[in-house]
Amino acid sequence: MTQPELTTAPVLSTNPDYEPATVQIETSTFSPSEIRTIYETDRTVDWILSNNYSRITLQFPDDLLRDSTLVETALQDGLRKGRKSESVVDGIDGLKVEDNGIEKERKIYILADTSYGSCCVDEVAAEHAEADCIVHYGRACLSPTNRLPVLHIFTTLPLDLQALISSFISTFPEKSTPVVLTSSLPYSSHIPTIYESLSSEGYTSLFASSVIHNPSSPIPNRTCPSTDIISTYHILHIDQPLTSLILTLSTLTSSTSLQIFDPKTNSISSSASNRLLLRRYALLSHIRAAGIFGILINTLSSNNYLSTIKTLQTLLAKHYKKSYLVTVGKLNAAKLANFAEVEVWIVIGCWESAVVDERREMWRVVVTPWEATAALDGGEGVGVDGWRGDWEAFKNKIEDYQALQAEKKDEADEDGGEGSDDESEEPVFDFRTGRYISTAKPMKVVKTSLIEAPSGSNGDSGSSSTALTTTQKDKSLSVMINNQISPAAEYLQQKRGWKGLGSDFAEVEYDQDGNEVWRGDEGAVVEEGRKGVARGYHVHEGETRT
Amino acid sequence: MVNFTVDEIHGLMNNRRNIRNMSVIAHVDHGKSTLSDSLVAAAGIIAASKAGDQRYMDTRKDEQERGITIKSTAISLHADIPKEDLVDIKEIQEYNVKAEREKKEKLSLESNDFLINLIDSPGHVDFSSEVTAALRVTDGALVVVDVVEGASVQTETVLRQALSERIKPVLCINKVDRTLLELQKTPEEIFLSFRDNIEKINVIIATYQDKALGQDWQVSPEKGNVAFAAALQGWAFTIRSFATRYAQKFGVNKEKMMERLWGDMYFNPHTKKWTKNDKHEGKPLNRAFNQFIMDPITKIFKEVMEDKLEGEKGILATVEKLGVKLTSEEKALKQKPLLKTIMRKFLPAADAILEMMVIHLPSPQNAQAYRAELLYEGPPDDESCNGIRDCDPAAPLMLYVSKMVPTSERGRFYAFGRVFSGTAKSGLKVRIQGPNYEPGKKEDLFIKAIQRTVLMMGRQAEQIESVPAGNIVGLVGIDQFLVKSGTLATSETAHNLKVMKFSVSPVVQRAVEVKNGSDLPKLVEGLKRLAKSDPCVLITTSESGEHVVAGAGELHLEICLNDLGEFAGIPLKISDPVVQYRETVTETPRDERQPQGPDGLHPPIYALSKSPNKHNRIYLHAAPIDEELSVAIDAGKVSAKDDVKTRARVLADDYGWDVTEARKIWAFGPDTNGPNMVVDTTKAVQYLNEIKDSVVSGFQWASKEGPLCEEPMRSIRFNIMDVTLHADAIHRGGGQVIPTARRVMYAALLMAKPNLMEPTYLVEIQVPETAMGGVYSILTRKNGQVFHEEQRPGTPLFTIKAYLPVRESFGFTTDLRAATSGQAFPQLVFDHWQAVELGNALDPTSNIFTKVIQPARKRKGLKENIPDVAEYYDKL
Repeated sequence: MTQPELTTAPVLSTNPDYEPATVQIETSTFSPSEIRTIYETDRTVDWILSNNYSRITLQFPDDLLRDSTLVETALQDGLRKGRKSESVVDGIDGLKVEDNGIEKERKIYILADTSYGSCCVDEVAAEHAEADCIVHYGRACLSPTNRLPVLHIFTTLPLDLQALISSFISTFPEKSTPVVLTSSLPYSSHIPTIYESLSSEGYTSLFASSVIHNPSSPIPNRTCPSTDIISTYHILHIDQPLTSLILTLSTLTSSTSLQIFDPKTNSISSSASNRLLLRRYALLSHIRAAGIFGILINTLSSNNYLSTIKTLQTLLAKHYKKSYLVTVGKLNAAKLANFAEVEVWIVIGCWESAVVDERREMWRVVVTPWEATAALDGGEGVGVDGWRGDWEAFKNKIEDYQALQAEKKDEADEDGGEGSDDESEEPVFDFRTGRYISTAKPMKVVKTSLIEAPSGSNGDSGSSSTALTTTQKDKSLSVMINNQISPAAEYLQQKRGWKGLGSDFAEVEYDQDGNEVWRGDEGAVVEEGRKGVARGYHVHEGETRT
Repeated sequence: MVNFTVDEIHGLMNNRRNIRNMSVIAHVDHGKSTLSDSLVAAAGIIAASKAGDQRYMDTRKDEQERGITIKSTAISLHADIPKEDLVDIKEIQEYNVKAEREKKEKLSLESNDFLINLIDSPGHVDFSSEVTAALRVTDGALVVVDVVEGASVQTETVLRQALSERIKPVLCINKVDRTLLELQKTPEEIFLSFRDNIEKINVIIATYQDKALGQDWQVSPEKGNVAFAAALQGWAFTIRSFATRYAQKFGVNKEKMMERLWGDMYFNPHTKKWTKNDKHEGKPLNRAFNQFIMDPITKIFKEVMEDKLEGEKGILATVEKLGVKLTSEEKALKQKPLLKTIMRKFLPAADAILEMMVIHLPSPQNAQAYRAELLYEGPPDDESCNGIRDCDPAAPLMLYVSKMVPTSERGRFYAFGRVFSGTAKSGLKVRIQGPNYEPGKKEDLFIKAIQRTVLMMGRQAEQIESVPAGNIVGLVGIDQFLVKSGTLATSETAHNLKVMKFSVSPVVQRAVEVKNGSDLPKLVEGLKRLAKSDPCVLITTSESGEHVVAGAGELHLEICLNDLGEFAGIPLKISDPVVQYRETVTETPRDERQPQGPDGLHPPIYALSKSPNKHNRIYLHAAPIDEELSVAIDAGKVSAKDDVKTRARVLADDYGWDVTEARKIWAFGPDTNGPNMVVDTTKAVQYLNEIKDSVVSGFQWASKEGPLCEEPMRSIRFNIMDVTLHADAIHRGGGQVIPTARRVMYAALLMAKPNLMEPTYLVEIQVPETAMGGVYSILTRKNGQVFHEEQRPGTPLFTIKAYLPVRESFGFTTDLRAATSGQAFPQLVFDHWQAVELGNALDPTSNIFTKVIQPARKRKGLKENIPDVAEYYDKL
């Protein structure tokens, strides 16, 4: 196993030839007048002036960042016109550039590289700039904020009205068909016009949704017909909806009646929601089979994330699952894969971040609290209700299931709990692999040994010593840290092959029992290494490496 | 009626020398269940007159309807053989010879009560896994062969399995009545076909028997371990049974007589001497076998069928002389019913078969001594292994559960298995060790008390207080912990008993959906039950959310889905059958511009991927593995658990690997035991061991679903060539390396001429010459490749063997029956994985893409096109 070329421990630094990051600079494709209409700068200026905010932050999603300077210029112009005496200072991401000669400062900051989803208002970043208000551009989840006033600019996009009308007529030839008209935010301002035109075509049972700030509405952030009758409606959504929205919409009505108008191709097609729902159903079986969960905090502005964490932790503890609380900022595969022992991630974020990772690039599955609750409290077989869009039935199912569980429990009690403590519980059937898995409840203290304290026949002294060994034996199979069962430590102990630096040199041999025996240098000699952060380490005292 | 009670059987269980655990194995329709009937009838469980018709061991409704056995069924029978036969029992003879030499106490020949645990197994290839489960718990096998059809593909498959488990075979040549009634053969022709059949079986035994065992398990009639039977008529004989009759008459000893009654031995009536010469003064002599055995039988057949019944020379008088007593009612019978009655009384099948089994098959005491090392995964000298070897009822419990048998209670199962050591009894707390259990870890380990132990009696189960080592048992209260099979032990240090290897694999799959959404919980419950009730069926949920049921073949799936419908009790939507493919590579990409190395080959082109932070790079290339090695990995002959050095030696000696490379296999995958490997071929790379775990994780992930259409990979080795890593541990953690390892493997696969492999059936068809045209036309249409065609000697039947892609096999049986007006019966058994020869997988116009890859991608909801290499390959 030894590498012949290596005789000493390697120098703990290398200097690989890293390439400098290439920066692509995109420039805006809009003219200043287009900027004024799309970004509604006049309305923004009015809002700022009427509320007399002095420190203004503009939050752009990544794909609109190229227009940020133009918007900022337009706002400056607007503000100057509004209050000629004032001057404006702008900055990008905290880098302030002062303007000349000023009485009362109005500072505009541009926020980029949002910590979480760009749909959420990044209040924390705004607070770094001590802002009075935030102007949020682009797609927004409209989750309520609690610290700062927010103005949402949805950046209206043009729509070919004629094409929409004609494809609508061919999709719904029957004039009395009930249809809810909805759209993604950039197209929401077209809805009333569409409603007018379609009504004049003779449609009688249309419902035009309008934007409201309520993510928990049946159609998130939109008005909709009352819940009793919504299932009779078809839904026409303009623009490709987010996967989370498809999932929500298809639970409202039967999945076949969700139609999508794509402004790029100007055609209507029905959604692929069935596939998504099936994929979500598959995720549920991951959740049931998993033992170690990571709760990811993916928002800081959501009003009730603290209570959600609490609920989730209680839920997981109730099912003997281990949970870890993690925050990593924006999600990506690399960050999550650093925690190889976590089997399922639950993201607490806004409703838009219902991640159904269709390309399956994540090392482990990522779900929302909804799925976690459905899988754990709903019992096996739940999820189809989402599958078929039958929300009510889902709730009933959970209740039925819980009643059934309670009944079973009663039965078990009646059976006379004959030493049920030292017998194992039934394992979980893992539908992904068709096997039973014993690791789904890592926090349940299980007996793994048959050795029992003799029932008094051997005398007291004998029994107490045996009892002691029993407990030790039991624990030896579960890894304990600070007297707590630690499934993650168990993972590291049992599934990791790496033994530490310098193990490359050790000769591994096997003794009679097949245990690994390390011979030779077991590891590198411990010596003082580098200190500091990646920006600049202190190698030895005084020296700095970059 | 029943001539024994459960208490009696319980008593017999403790006499381990007097137990015979045996399974009846054979090709479909060769008469296993019918033969079992005779034995069951002898025990008084069914009426003797019904034996042969009732098929008592076919307990399910669909088994009776279809006339095939689907599940293996066990029954415990009591048999007593004549005391004078006890001396002939082979293992007692051997033991006593040895005891005499070592001056130990000899075994007594007192008890002539025997306990026979009989398992009737299915003959159809699709249910081979049931046979495997049956063989594991038995020590002997009764191989049944149809004298007309001969040993066929399934006979060979099951016999091979039996031998690999060190199950001793005895042979029964069945349907002798057909040769007499249908084919009207002469005794000499019958003899020749007997001999031909026995030779074929002996060839199989010689090929597959465990040489290390040092025992010769060939069968031959003169030894008495071949029986000749007509199970439907309920009669059978061995050479020994006739030798016993004639020994007295001729006044010679029985052993001598047995040798004379088989093979080239003749009795010369002129000289009154036995001779090996088949001529006397130029005139041919009648073979002893024909003269003394076949002639009398032929005579009975002929005269009964010609109605020569009454009178001095009539058959009724003749049989009376043979000691067959008929009631007046029976005397009124005619033709076949009369024939059956006479023959059954003249040569009762049960007597001959039981006697053969008792004498020639090993008792558990004997068999476990040589099976222990093969059965037990742990060290050969620990208390559990010693218990198995000695078949010791006082040792710690070692019990193997080989399958689950449904109980009358909905959703519950008996765990069916064999006690190899110790004693199983109600209330005993045991360690239940699932297939993935490893000593010292808590995964797949449960503690539970056995609720009840039962005796499996065909359709019923009888409660029994305890079952000692060497017996077959049913357990109540264990089923929730094991899906299909597992080990039960009481020793803290017990390892697992070896997991069974099936000869079939679940290569055909269908997705199941409920018609009505709210029924899903019922489907889920049904699937759980189905997973238990069959040893082979595989229940999975795909990542795209479909419930998939995978089985060995069309018939197997059909039966499983019928069961599922019954378990769930709801209407189901079932997709068309789909084949599972494997993604593979066909060649190592070579860089022609570089100079050739010492091996005469250009250096390989490596794939390169960078980690998300761009600071780590992995270089590797994919190379094909010999299919032979993949098969060895599938069979567990080369595995991740082997000692590194021994495995490297095997790889170098048998598969031409470089020894140093063979020592640096990091992992097998998917599932840590699949036929793909990742091999470290780097030189002096820093921190390499640190990222090994991450690379292996990425490899397991990648090999489970490849880039072509998310099917598992097969026969690929990934050679890691070089790795550059960031100096800071935090920048080369799992997050950076795992996804990168997966990407670089995808890139390497796409660069190495990827292809798909498909499962291929071996098809065996027996067909009369007249219908052969139909067979060939169907085989051609379905892309079958015929590689063997042979006429069964003395019959108009031809045996055709061909390879047929599983993909083409759907509806094959139906088409074949239609094309041959029902005269051809195919047997399809999974044989090997074969490259799909439909062009370049990466070419979007090729057949393989449009016919296989694209539909698969569509079904799984993937993007239509295979991702380009550039998605995974990063430029330097």
